[in-house]
Amino acid sequence: MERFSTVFRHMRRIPYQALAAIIIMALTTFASTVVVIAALTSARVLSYFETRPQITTFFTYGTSQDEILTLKQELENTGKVSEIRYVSQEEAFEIYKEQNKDEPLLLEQVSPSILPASLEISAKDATYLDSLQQFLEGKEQVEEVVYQKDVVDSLLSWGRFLRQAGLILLVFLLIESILIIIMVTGMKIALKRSEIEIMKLLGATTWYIRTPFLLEGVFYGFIGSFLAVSFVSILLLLLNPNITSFFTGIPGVPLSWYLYLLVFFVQMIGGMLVGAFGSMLAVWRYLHD
Amino acid sequence: MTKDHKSDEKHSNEEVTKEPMVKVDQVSKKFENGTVALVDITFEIPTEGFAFIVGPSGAGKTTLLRMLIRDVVPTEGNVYVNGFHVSHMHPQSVPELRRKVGMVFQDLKLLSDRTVFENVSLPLEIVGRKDSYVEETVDKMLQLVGLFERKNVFPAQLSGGEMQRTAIARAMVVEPDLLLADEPTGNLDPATSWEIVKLMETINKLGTTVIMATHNVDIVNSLPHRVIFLEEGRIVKDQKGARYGTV
Repeated sequence: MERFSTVFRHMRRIPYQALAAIIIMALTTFASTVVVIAALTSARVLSYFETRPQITTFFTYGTSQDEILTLKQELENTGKVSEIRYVSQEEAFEIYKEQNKDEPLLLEQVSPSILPASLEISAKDATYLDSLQQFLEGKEQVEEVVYQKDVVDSLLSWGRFLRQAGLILLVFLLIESILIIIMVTGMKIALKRSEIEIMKLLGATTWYIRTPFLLEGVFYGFIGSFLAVSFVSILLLLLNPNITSFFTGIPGVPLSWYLYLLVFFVQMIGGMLVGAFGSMLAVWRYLHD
Repeated sequence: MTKDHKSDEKHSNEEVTKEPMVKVDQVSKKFENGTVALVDITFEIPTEGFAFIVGPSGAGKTTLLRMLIRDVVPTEGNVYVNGFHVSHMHPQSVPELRRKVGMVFQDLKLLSDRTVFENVSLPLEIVGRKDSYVEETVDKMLQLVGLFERKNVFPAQLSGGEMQRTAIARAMVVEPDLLLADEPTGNLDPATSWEIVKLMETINKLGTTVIMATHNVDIVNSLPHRVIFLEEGRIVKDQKGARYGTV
């Protein structure tokens, strides 16, 4: 307890520097929490789209079911396909009826014979889609290949960008946080130079003197990350209805509160570790024997 | 510190415990800027003894006292304090030595942002004593030095004598085997100076070895203690109950 009271005494003595350290730690943890949540959410969205049929192949009239099933087998043998569903003309008609149940006029003009049979294909990985498309387009019985290339490509590139930009931002903020904590701790050590000298003359060990400075760094990390996760929690409470409606139908989005709490916990531990690391560097630099 | 170091120091402790509280053997000190502070100093102070170190400013009194807590390391010779081979001890053992030696510094070194109580309790906090023990011991010590009623005030609100007594209380609170006092009566009026000296004598009678550096002629001449005279870093006289004026 005595060590903690020393920490608070240090902070009271130069409160603005302490505040600066807490704010920068809060910003870092906030950015890091947002990036982690966004990355987890985008991963869920991407994985949802990856499980949806990404290529739909329509066959020319007169293509027999056996020919289609042979092609289905060939596709399965490539090892790039996670799921293939054969949609017969009758099933296509049922789907059409379901989609247009409120339009009786449209239903009257259509019969199963004018709808093509199709294969709905999901790839094991989005990067296989191009080669699967080329494979199908080379078959003469294939009339059209509908490929949601743009959606998948855009999701992939957004996911990649989010991860890369987030990583760069995090590294930048991390370095900045550590430098600020080194600066604040170094300043405090300089201000307390004579007090440190007196304590040494009274028999204080090096670690007795160092510990309050290290705890101070941990405390900055704790308070900063606590503020950040509290703010993120409020934002999530406010935005969750919008997220839910925007990603309707995608399972696991928004993330569960259990997962959010886990992310918050990890972020707080991370914040404290960053604080401890920064103050440890400062102590090592300015308080050696 | 390694086990070997500890056992070496423990071994030297055992060797020296039967010997004087302080043993300074052919010690010289030359600072990096070329100043020669001490030259071939040799003396011993017995356990529970009381000795004055006197001499003009710059004679080396403060350097000698600082050497006894390893704040200054001798260039030559050996220093033994309370069983520690101070001049050759491992840096990590220095706190252990300083916890057994109380020192009243010439500039007092009180922490201005802490109360009298907090200043006096600092050495006990450093050794990790429990709060209840700290409170009881510090209160007792403040009563001994007559500062109990002033325990919640800051050093800036104290008189010179009160500040000296605070520094003495801080040095004594860990019940050290040796008390070093560097000019504890400097800048004090005669009456207050006598109060401080009486306090030192009381502490000595309680079993603590006391070494006091001073240039207060009246005090030295009126007490029957040993006096070591320093001049230009050398001992020029070492005798019991000497008269300062006779040097």
